[in-house]
Amino acid sequence: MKSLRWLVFSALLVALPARAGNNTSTLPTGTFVIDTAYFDTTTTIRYDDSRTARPLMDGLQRYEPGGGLQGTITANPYVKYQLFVPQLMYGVTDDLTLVIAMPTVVHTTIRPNLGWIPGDYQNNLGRPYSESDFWQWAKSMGQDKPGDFSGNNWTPADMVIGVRYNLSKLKIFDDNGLRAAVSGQFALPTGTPADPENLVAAGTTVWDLNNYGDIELHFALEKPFKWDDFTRLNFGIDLHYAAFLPHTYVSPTGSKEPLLMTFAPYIGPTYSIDPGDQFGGTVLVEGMPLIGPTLSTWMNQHDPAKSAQWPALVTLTASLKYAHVNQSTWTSQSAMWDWDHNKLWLPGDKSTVRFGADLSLMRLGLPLQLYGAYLTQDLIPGRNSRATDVWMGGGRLILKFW
Amino acid sequence: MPAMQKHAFTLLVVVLALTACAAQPPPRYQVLHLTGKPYDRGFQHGQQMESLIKSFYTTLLTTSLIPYLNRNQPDIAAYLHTYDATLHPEYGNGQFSVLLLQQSAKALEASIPQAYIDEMKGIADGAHMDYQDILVLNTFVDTTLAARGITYFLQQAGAPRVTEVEWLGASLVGDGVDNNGDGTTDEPGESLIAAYESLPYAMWVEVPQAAKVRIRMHDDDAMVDPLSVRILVDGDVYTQASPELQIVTPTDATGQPLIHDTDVTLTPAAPWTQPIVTIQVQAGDTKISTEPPPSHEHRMRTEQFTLSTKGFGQPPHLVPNMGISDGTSQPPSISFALRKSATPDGQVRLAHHFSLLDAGTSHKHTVVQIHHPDTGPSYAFVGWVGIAYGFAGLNSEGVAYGCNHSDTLNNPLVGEFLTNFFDAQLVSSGEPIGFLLRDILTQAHDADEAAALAYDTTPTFGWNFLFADKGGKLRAVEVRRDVGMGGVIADPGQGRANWTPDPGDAAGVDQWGVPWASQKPDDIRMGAHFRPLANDFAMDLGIFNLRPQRDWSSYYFSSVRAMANLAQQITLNYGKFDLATVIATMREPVLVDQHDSMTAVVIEPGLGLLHAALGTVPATDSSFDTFDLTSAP
Repeated sequence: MKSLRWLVFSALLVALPARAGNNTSTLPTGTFVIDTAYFDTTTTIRYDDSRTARPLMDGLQRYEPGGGLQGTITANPYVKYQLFVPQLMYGVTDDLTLVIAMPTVVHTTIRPNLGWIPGDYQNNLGRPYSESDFWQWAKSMGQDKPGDFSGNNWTPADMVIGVRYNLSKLKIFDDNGLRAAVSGQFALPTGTPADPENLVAAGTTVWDLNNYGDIELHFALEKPFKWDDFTRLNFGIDLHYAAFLPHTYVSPTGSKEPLLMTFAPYIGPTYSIDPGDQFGGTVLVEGMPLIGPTLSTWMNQHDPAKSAQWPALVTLTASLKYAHVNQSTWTSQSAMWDWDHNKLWLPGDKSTVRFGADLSLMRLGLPLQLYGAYLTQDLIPGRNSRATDVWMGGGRLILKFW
Repeated sequence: MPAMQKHAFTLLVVVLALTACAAQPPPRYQVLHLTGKPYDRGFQHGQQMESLIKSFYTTLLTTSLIPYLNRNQPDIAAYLHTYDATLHPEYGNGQFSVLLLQQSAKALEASIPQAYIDEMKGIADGAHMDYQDILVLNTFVDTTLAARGITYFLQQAGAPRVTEVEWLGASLVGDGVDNNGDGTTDEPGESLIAAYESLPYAMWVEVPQAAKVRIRMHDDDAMVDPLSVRILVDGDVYTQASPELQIVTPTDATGQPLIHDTDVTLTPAAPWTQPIVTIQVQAGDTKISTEPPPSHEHRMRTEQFTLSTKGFGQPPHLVPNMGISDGTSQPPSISFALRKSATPDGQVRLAHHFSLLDAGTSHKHTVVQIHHPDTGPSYAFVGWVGIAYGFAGLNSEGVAYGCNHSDTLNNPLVGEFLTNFFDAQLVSSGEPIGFLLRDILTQAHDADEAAALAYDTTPTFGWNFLFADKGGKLRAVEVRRDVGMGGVIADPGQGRANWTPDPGDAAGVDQWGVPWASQKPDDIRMGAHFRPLANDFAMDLGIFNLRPQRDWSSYYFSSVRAMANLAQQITLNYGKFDLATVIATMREPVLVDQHDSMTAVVIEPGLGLLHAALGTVPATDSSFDTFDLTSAP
């Protein structure tokens, strides 16, 4: 009897750590699962090299030519991605499962929340520049104040194709009562990059989401503990490596933001970003506080014994994922410009705490599982990384079962 | 190795391999060793610095200075019809300042020796840029400073100005002191400065401590806004709300109000106990201008004058107008040189801190250029990529220089106006400063020759030079243009000053026999204001009263103050000025522009060493790295 607990690639898809407890399961041969999930992610802070929380952007000092410091444009951006992630999984064999996911950005909102710290006294004004003064000044130079971004409505992100192979039958694992699996996934470039000319903009590519790699490898190991012949507690680890491939982008020419985004004349018509690869591990504990009744239904052919090992009615999980993040590297014709970006993406790490709950209705005769989770990177300060909070919810429909 | 350890080691290697190194910042500044003919040196420069030259051009000119100058087009077009975009559309759509810089560059090119043109062409070819852009990059300082002077002056012309100051405390007449330094004691009217002018020294001395001062301000086309009046006296701020301040509209002899005049009378509650008191005056008018944005009243330059109280015992010219450091201004460019008794080892040292226009970018583009030409001496200077000169340098003959800008309306752009009036074009002319400095490096064998080259130039603006050589000669030169009505040279030969700190040099002292810029015979200093050329210009055109630098330049008082502070430092450390002390002096906060500092250099011409602090703002925050001109490239 194969477990009917599903892959959760969606958890990988929004930067959010995978649920190790589900990382060793494969679908029975010929089984389809349709999984749809909704993700609501917000990012408002980053951690610097000393693990101090800071706004996503540093202040930008502006100077009056020959007149000293006008002031500092501060930004406290709020970035919100809403995603819809449909997945189709298929059990090729009992030990090999394929998955195709089409993450789609429902909407992206960016509020830069610009502020202002006045600079030097300006004799010609009789005061330092106020924020209003500055943006009037900037407008006279052709630069409007950047506004909010609202877009990416139902825009596909980079598509993901994944595969998992169950290693639990290997003697080393079987003898020790362990479950193990290796998984791999890669992304296809179906996403849309941000408009290069807009200062406040976001796209839907792997880099924009900065959450799942172009290529990922996982090795998961679980140790279930049974009471009354049913797994009620599960400990797991998951080791992962996420590779991000370099991508080339069009350089801003300053056509929309002449003061802030005129880069092409010296960085060249294009530049590349080689995002830092990420690797690390996840530890997970999973408990089944309520197995629930097992009814005699059409699903178990009216034989409750056949569904004795089906998922518990309620499963609670908690996990901690640590990921080391390598340097992300900008490469253009200007080493100076590259450094201005590279210094914000130095090597670092991030830790994600996840709390989740699954409700499986299979024992009640419905081929449906509902799940929800909250993930946060705020609890444990990271280093040189952005912290995202996520609420997610979804459901899985099983199309074939025994 | 046990298997477990081997696995652990392998894992460690894998992890380290997976962990990419952190990105490293680019060098703080660049160093160029250039050899060969002028074109070849330029090409090497352009080829090695291509990206930086392009970013310097873009970030300083395209996205900063050019749009900034465009903002002044309405002010200028109001007087100079050539720049009215409705009459001359070629100057519309943001092209005003682009054309201004290009036309001046083209005009100045005629005065640039062919070798430097070849070098600029080499830079352009090496960097894959247009020669025209490189020419603009090498001449924009000349054009921009003159244009800035005009626009700043025009702004000031519409603002209030101090016209009269009167001492209303206990009478100065009868105190037995020549309070105003006019050579007469207790003459009638000694308490009244009826035609106010800015001075680098005290207006009155030996005034009673119980003070009462009336300041009259005049605005040609509006009224002084009483709410805008601020009087600062050594840390105390007085405004309209202060009981010590009375602001009234004066009347004429018939009792009619003088609506364009405002009298501000200050009666401090407590007597002045300090020996030297400086009064700072700030005010704006009631007319709000929306161009260029942001909306603003017309603000006068912060004016300041100095008095000494009873018992100080010095005549006015020995009481420096130190001004008030209230954080509203920064020290300008400074330079000083020391020799013999000023230094512990007898070495000659020249220090130069250039501050003008960082705009958040210049410091990222600094470069030390060391030229080894096919013929002539080698030389080094500090500057910026894409630019073939620097404001401080040294040649292998042991000649060092530092050069500062010095505001003046006696410049070729004003000369254009005086020639063609409302049809004038703001096109510069004369020898661009940078290539004069290159001539000095390539031709001068000592400070005298260097000074002679500077003295004989046809300047594009006001410049203050300081020269030192390995033989111990120190020289200072001030130059300005000689423009006059109708293009006639107004005062030939008067626009120059060239002096030394040497005892007996009559050119080196003022009318009272006090050295212009030295504490003792072995030091000399320069700021961003004129000393011998203090009366650099005065011409009343009716619509404009073109005035000397000291009456309008935004750098004037900060320069006066910086020079006074520097004089104190030089006196304090006389005889101790080794390299470390010179550097420490340059880092004195009262001498450092925190926002537009660009390069800082100490040169030891006798040793062939140039010590440069580059790549930060202020530049003096960086280490002073040493370049030996005597070493092979």
